[in-house]
Amino acid sequence: MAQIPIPQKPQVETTSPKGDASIKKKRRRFTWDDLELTLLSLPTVAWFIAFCYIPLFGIVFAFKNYKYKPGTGFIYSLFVHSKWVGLKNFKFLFRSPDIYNIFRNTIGYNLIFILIGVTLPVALAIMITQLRSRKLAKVCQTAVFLPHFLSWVVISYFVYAFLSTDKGLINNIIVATGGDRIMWYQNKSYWPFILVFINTWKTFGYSMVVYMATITGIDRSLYESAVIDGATKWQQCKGITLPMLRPIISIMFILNVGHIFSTDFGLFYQVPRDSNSLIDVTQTLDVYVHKALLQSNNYNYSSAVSLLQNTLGCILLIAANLVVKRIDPESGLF
Amino acid sequence: MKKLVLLILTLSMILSVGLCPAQADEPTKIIWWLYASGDAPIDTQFVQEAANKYSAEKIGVVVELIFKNDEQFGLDMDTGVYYDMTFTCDWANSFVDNANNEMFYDITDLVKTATPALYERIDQKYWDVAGSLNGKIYAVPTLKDMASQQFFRMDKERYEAIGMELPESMEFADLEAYLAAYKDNYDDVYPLMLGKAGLTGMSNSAQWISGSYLCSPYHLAGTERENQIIPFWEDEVLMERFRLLHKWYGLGYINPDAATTETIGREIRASVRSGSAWAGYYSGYSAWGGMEVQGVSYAGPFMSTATMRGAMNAINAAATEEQAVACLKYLELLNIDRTFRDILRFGVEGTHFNYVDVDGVKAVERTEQGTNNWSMDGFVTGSVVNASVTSNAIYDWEKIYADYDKALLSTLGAFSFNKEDVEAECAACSAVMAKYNAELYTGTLDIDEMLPTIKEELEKAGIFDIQKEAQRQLDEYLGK
Repeated sequence: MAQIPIPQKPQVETTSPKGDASIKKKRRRFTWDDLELTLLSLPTVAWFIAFCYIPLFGIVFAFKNYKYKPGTGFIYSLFVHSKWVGLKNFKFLFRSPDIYNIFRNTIGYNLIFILIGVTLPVALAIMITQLRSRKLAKVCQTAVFLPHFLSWVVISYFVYAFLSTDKGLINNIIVATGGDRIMWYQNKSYWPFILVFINTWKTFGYSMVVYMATITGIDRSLYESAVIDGATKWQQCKGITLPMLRPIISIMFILNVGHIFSTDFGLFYQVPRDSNSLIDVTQTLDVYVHKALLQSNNYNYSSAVSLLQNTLGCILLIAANLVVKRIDPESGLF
Repeated sequence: MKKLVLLILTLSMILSVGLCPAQADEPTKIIWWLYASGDAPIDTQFVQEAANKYSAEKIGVVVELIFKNDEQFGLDMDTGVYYDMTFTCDWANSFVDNANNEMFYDITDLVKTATPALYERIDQKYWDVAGSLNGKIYAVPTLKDMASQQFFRMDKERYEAIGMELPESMEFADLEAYLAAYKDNYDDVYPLMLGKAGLTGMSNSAQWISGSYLCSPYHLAGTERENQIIPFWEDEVLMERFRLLHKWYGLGYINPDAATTETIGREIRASVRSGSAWAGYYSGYSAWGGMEVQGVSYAGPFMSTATMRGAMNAINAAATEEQAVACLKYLELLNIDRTFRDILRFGVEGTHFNYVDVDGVKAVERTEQGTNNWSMDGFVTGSVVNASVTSNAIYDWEKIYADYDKALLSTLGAFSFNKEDVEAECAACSAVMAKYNAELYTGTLDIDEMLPTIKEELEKAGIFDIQKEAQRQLDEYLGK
């Protein structure tokens, strides 16, 4: 398996925070090793510049009324031909009568996902590493990892095969055992659970592998000495594994908080099959933007919304990082 | 250094050859964007070559056909991808929005001087109402069905087998008896199979001004409510249809998960399908479901900007006059030369289709390759009227066009709503309707129960601001 680089708690405690700072102050010479590393990083840097930094100019869409002028280029049309409209494009979002619902769903689901995303994969990662049979551990790991590779469209058809009103597997079982058909796609009370369940099923395998890699990297001698001291499995887990996992858990947590205003469009749009009866519990920001702008191709409004999402997300990410660092100075992301 | 100079020289030579102006006797090439609901037809290259050979000889113009879907049109128009001529209409690649943004070439004078035969061929009212905006002509209307007439396309075989004759026309409510009889006699499919688009065309008894929430019903012409733009719930005809549909849904005539079903595939033997067409369109054998069908009209024909703008072609505002003339000449040829029109409509004779004689009418019979590899809606590649009819559906366009004089014409004339000042409200209202449309048009939802909620949400989203603005623009237009 590919080694995932994971920041680890230093094995040897540094003398003091002051000592750290004094090392940093020393100017280091640019060595051959550094050149090699710089060259290695070039493709990634180029990728980020091309796909993350250059497109940033598109932010001006959010403050313009974009109109193309025939015979000119796109850049000219955007910067010269199109008029500035200030914050008018943001107005669109707040005209929606569902605005409360949209934010509740977006943030609510994300909070649940973060909570589950932190606890469940860690618990399962620990349990699987405790398995005595390596073969069984590998099988379990692969099995939970597989859904990660399925696209939401494919999953939406799987779900439909289970939940379809007249041909679905679950309804057929219900009818065979003498019950009444349930119209899953018309009944919104089930969907918060269904969505959380499906999302967990699809994503937890991936995070679990990250945690397992960290657990594998923990120094075995720590466990050996713990066993000699008579520690039980539970005590080993509480005293060694969890503290060692703490930095990676906080990094995953901070990164997820940064995405709290964005949701997976596939999960909330494809899986419920865009069913209108379910909209109260499935409409998140991304779904709303897609539905409102599907016909009008209005790039100004969609840019405004995504700018808002990302700005709020960025603020939250920095805040979460500060909080984490306050609690545990070594677990911060930056 | 020498090498570098040499390299630059060689490169510039290669480039200059490429940039060399075309020789005088070479045909002018135009890029034509066409509408495709899905992928481009497989034999595009093949048919394009055949068409180019013909048109190069006749008018010295050749074409590059590029098929685009709804989304591609929007993105490519807005980012300035070059084209000479493009498909535009009321329901895709919006004519009104693009013409308002000055994206299209003003052909008001050019079409009269460069291509008088084309200008003659198309009736003046279509130039005035469909191709024009604010008094200037921006597009060439495609001659096809110019009015909207609503049909149920029904399973003739099965209905006749249970002793039910299909009339030529009926009321919307009359369908109920047929659905009931179908349910009693057949149990393999629901009598009225619907996808999430619902019973398409049932809202066409009104001219839609904005989205699916503001309209001006045709039946109000001549009453004191004529020329009023109203929210959909004030259109009693539409509301009654919603109620009936919901009743049928309750009676089990409609598939229960209609609102979440993408489409009803062509392999399904649906007893009733619906659509906009013209007399004679739905008749005979249908490959959809493989059965004899008959069209039963339940509304129309109505005529308005929306129906006349069903398909048009416009020229890029950035095109040179030479290119614009070439485009017009090409459209002219499509409108007056049947042999040429049949190439783009049906493909290459002998490969994609053959001419047959049906009761003295020269008709077209498609081959299997034609059906599979070169098949699209008739209006996509130009005039439907000028193309030959197919052997399984013979109709007389002259008679159909003569009937249009009797069609119920919208009193709104060439009025087009410019949404620029209420764009945010329109987007918000569209989003509200997007929540309910599928369930309204499939009968899943009880309109009387839900209307207060829908009204309240639309009001919050600003429907009355849009209504006021639209009415103001309309009054201004009519006052002119």
